[in-house]
Order: sequence, then C-alpha cells, then structure tokens
Amino acid sequence: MLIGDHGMTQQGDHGGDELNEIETAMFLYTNNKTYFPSRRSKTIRTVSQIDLVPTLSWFLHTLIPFSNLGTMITDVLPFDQRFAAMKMNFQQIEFYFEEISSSLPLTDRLNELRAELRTIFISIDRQRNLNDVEKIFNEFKIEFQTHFRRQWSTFNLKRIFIGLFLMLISCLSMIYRRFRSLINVEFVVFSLAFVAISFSNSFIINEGQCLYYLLQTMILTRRIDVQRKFLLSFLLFFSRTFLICREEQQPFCVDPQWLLTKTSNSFDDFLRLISSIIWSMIFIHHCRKNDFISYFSFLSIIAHWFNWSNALPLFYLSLFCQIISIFFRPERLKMFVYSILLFVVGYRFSLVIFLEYLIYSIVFQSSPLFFAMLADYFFYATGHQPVISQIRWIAAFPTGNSTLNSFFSLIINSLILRGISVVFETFSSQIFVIISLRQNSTIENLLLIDFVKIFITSFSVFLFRRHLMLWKIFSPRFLFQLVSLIVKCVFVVLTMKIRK
Amino acid sequence: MNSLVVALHLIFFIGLAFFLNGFLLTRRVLLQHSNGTIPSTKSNDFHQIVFVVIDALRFDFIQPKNFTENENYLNQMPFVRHLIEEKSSQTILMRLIADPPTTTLQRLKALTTGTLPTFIDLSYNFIGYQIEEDNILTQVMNNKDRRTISLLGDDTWLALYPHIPFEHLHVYPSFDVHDLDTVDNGILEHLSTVMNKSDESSLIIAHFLGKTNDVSSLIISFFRCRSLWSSLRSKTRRNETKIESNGRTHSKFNVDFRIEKFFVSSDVDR
Repeated sequence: MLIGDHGMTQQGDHGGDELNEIETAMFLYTNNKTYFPSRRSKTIRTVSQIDLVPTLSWFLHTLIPFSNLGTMITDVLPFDQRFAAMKMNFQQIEFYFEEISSSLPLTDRLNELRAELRTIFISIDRQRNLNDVEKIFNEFKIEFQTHFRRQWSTFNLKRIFIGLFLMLISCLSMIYRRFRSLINVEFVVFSLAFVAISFSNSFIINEGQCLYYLLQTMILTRRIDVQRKFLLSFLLFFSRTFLICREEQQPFCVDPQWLLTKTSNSFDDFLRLISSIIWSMIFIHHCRKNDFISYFSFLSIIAHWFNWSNALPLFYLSLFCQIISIFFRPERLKMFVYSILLFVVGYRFSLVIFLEYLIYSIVFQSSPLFFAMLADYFFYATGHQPVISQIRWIAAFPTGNSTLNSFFSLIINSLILRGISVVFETFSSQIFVIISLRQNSTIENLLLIDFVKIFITSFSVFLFRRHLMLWKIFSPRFLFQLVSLIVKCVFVVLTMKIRK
Repeated sequence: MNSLVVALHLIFFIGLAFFLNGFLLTRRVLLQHSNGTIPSTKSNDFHQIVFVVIDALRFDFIQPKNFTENENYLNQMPFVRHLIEEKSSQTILMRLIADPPTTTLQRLKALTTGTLPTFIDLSYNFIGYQIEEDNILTQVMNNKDRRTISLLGDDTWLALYPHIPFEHLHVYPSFDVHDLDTVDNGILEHLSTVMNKSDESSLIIAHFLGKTNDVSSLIISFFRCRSLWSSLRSKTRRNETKIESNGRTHSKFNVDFRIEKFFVSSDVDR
C-alpha cells in the first residue's frame, strides 16, 4: 500500500490547502490475482485520506479505531466482503456518535441516513441489493464528513462577542483616564494607520516594511531638531538590512544570506570583532566600576562568540551571580537583561540591538505610540516574522562542547531554560523597550496602546474568520501579539522597582 | 499602579479569555479504544502488508501520463505505470484528498487515527507528540492475530508512537536533514531483509522522504524479491491449489499455506 501523506506546491512547499498540496495518491498492489474486484471503468476514483483508516483496518483484520471518521473504500474490497465491511464501519461510527453527540449536534439529514443504515445493517434487511446499500452508505459518508469538517471550523459567536465587548469597555475606560496626556491629532492619525495593518493580509505579509514607513514618516513630521531627525532616520534606515522574508514574500524578497548562514570566513570574524568592540563600549559606559559580575558576564559572551568552548558554563554561572546581585542592587537588572539578550540573539543581531539602543538614547522622551511602533518594528528588524515555523529554535541550543559536569548540563538542557531562551530571542524588541523606558506614565500608555492593538486585532480576526489565510497569516500574528503583550506585562512588573 | 487600573486590566484579560475560548477551535479528543470482536466470517487475507508512505507525493507524480511531457517530475515512476497496465487486476490507483494542514505530523496522525485536525494541532508540528487516541497501530498490537509491526524511515513515527514494540526498527532523523538520500537509502538497505521474514504476520511501515527514482527502484526490488522467493517455494508445493478462505485457525501451517497461494499464482503468472 503506497500512499503520499500530502502533495506539494510548484515551489516544493506544503502545509496549506492548495489543490497541489492536498491531492496525493494511493497505490495498491497484491500478488493475489483474485482479490480486487474486476473493474470496467478506467476513471480514477477520489477518496478522502482518512478513508484509508477503516480500509487498512479491514486488510489488517483488526478493529477500526474509535474516533475514526473515514469510510470504507468499498471499491477495493471483494464483493462478498463489502456488506460486512460497511457494517463494521457503520457500527464503529455509531459508537463514536453516541459519545460525541452531547457536544456536537447532528443534522436532521444525517439522523435520517443513520436510521436507514441501522435498518440495513442491524435489523438485517436482506431485501436491499449491494449497489443500493453502497449508494446510501456513500451519501451518509459525504453528509457526516462534511458536517464534522464544518463543525470543527465553527466559532462560538456568543463567547467571541462577550470577549470583544469586555475588551472594548476596558480599553475605552483606560483611554478616558489617560485622554489628555495621550490623545492628539497626530496620535489619532498614526494609530489608525498602525491598526489598519491588521485588516489586510498584504499589509501583514509586509508588516516590517509598513511599520518602517510609518516610523520614518513619524520621525520626519515630529517637532525635533534637524540633526536628531536625520540621525534617527539614518539609524532606522540601516536597520532595514536585518529584515528577513516570510514565505508569502518569496519571489520578491531575498533573505540577507550573511545574516542567516553559518559561515566562518573573515567577514564573520569582522562582525564578531565589531560587535564585541561596540558592546564593550556600552558596557563600560553603563556599568559602575565595581560591577564585576556584569563585566564577567559580558566577557563570557564575547568568549562564546569567538567559539571558546568553556564560555558556556561560565556564562550561566555569571547569570546566576547576576541574579543574586540584583536582590541587593535592583538597578543591575538592566545589564542582566542586556547580557541575556546579547547571548540569545548572537553577534550578528547584536548589531540591531545596538541600533535600538542608539535610537532609544536619542528619543528618550517621545510619544508612547512611537515606542509601541518601534517595539513592533524591531520584532521584524531582529529577523523575525509572526509565523510559528520561523521561530528561531536554535537560540535554545547554544553550541559549545566543553566538559560540563552532569549537574550543570541538567540545568542547561532543561526545557524551562530553553523556553526562556526562545522567548527572549523572539521578543527581544519588546523586552528592550520596557527596560529602556524610564517613566511610569510612558509605560502605562505603552501598555494601553498594546491593549487597544490586541482588541483591534481580535476584532479583525473575527471579521476574517472565513478568510482563506485565517490560520496561515492572521491567527499566527494574533498569537504573537498576545505573547508580546504578556512578555511586556511580565517585564513591567519585574522592572517596577527600578523605575521612578 | 492604583486598583482601578488593575481592575481594568483584569476585565481586559477576562474578555480576552472569552474571545480566545470562542475563537480558537478545539476538538474534543476521545481516548476510548474500540473493543469487541471481528466477525468470524471475515478472513485474515493478508499475511504481510507493506505500508509505504512517500513524503509529499503529489498525485501527478505517480499518475501515468499518456504523453511524455517536458517536466522532470512527471512520468518518473515507469514501473508503476507498467504494473497498472500489465497487471491491472492486481493494482489499484486512487486519488487521495488530504485535509489541511498538509504537514507530515498532522497527516500521519490522520492516517492512523482517522481524525480531522484543527488549528491547535498546527503548533505541535515540530515537537513530536505522542498519539493517545485509538489508532491502527495500537489495534494491531492488541489484536490476537499477533501481527508484528516494523518501522523503517522517518523517525516522526517514533515520536507519535513511542510505546509500540516495533519488531524491526530502522529509523533515521527527519527534521534537520541536509539531503533526501540518507533516509531513503537506509530504508532500501533494510527493507528486503525485513520483508523476507515472512514467517511472521506483519505490518511493515516504510516512510520515505521521497526521491522518486528510489521509490521506483523500491517497487522493483519489492517484486523482484517476491518473485525470487516464490520460485524457490513453488519447487516444493506446486500441486497445492485449493484456497482456504476462513481465518479462524492461525497455526503456522495455515499461515504458510496462505502465502503459498500468492506465490504459486505469481509463479504461474511468469
């Protein structure tokens, strides 16, 4: 029995629901010349992939799995076995219906067909000929498979509306509280543009670039001095090289290879050197003279960048020491977070974090909407896309084959540490904005903007609930925004002590 | 932060929870297993079933085309075409429509449990996820026929079925691969040995990553080894033609005899 699990697009991808991806084959061969019934028709029949399950069970001489929704492919069975096969399949489905009927109502037509098939199979109505039985069985198959496919893609509208309503009134209340400090014409115009991105899949696919244009416009229209304006503009311009493509942009967008491929040529060494020098300067500028732990942490990161095998355990040790020192001096949290970010992001993307650092130094006091857009933009400019398959899991597996004792490796290889690494790597921009902002009021407004953004995105995914790209484009982005908000909230709580 | 702000945040998160509950589709998973007996009139027709999965096998790759097109992915399985034309009463080719998401893990789950997927399943594609629902492999394992299950190829199956005692196990990592050959060559190396152990009733699962040429040669090797063995057996049992069709007895003799039926017929065919 030769089958394909799925097909592929002309580009060789799969995962979606294009005809090329869902159309696959089943090829059967047996040495038994008399098993398959003789067929006159040359046309190739089409069946559901799950119909394989009861059919294979029949060949294997086993019971059909309990939750199966496939139906026997009677065409491949000998005539004298078909009735028994359909009966067994029907009984299995009946058992399943009984269990699931409380949470999933069935249609009237479906119940009619069930009753009819019950009289055929269970009351043993011998009057029907095989052809008729097969026809009714086939109609039953189409009816219930369609019904279940539809049911499992149906939303609970009542709960959606309650949710949207609660989110709306809380957002409106929060906006009313901060109205004077927040709302002006500029804010309204830019925030409308900002949330408009949620309403088009083309915008979402190119969200990195959309946010970039919005930010540049915002910079150029702000009332700040010309030097700062152009400096900001240039810094933002350089950050564009760190955007990476998503699947839907493919023919038109090319990934920057120097950023993604692991090479060990001289250019790579040059990057390592530059990152090390730049971040040394920043650490020296920020750390107090007696803050040995932070220096130690930073040095171990540099050693790791230059592939020194013992850097890894030293780095984790330094993190542990830093955590302890934060209890005594909370202001060291910032350097601690910088250490982790540099480590998980790597020497290449550390250059983007440097750009972020410069930008936040220049606009230390600005509209919260600007910071919100910066945080979102740098999600893309740190080489991410809101696509689950493009999460950089490699951050959880730092290379370094040194001689660790087993206790250490137990910690390093733990799922929690790996999960935290991936969260830090993916949401580095959100974390960075929270630790860079100084004033409580800005933070509050930033969170408020995030809440409003989530509400608008929720509304947009509800609006597009039957859109073809719902599960591929809109929903993953929604989930990423949710996690961004949670990460931001967690860091707001963590950094409460160090803020005025 | 004063309590009003906290209250408002709380209301927001409650609303969000309601929304997610209504929006993110979930499927109620039932963990019951089918139990009961197979009707005694049903015969155990197939001593050995080789279940070959070829990753991303699109229908037009295998479908015999009537003219030689210029595409390098069409008409690349000539042996399949030969079998369909020469041995039409022994072959069946069908088109199968898979449900999205068309990712390997979800499809393997559907192929063994017969269930339809939902969005939440999507997130588990790269993390292996053990199947707890009733499935074909568990049914074979618990069946009194004592059919063994062997696995070759893509190691995703192991992640889905870590507790199945595979009789012969030759798996290869499928996730971070740099070529299509390692897994497929590994399977071909072991497949004929596993298939030739026909003293045991078996289900052999072979999951190829799918270089089409190799699959063609796989099918050729499958039949070559069959024919070779049949010629060996037929020398001793040429006269047995009666076909036993009830599956009640499972003694070694009857099992052997039923394989015979296939070999004798293929020998006569040649």
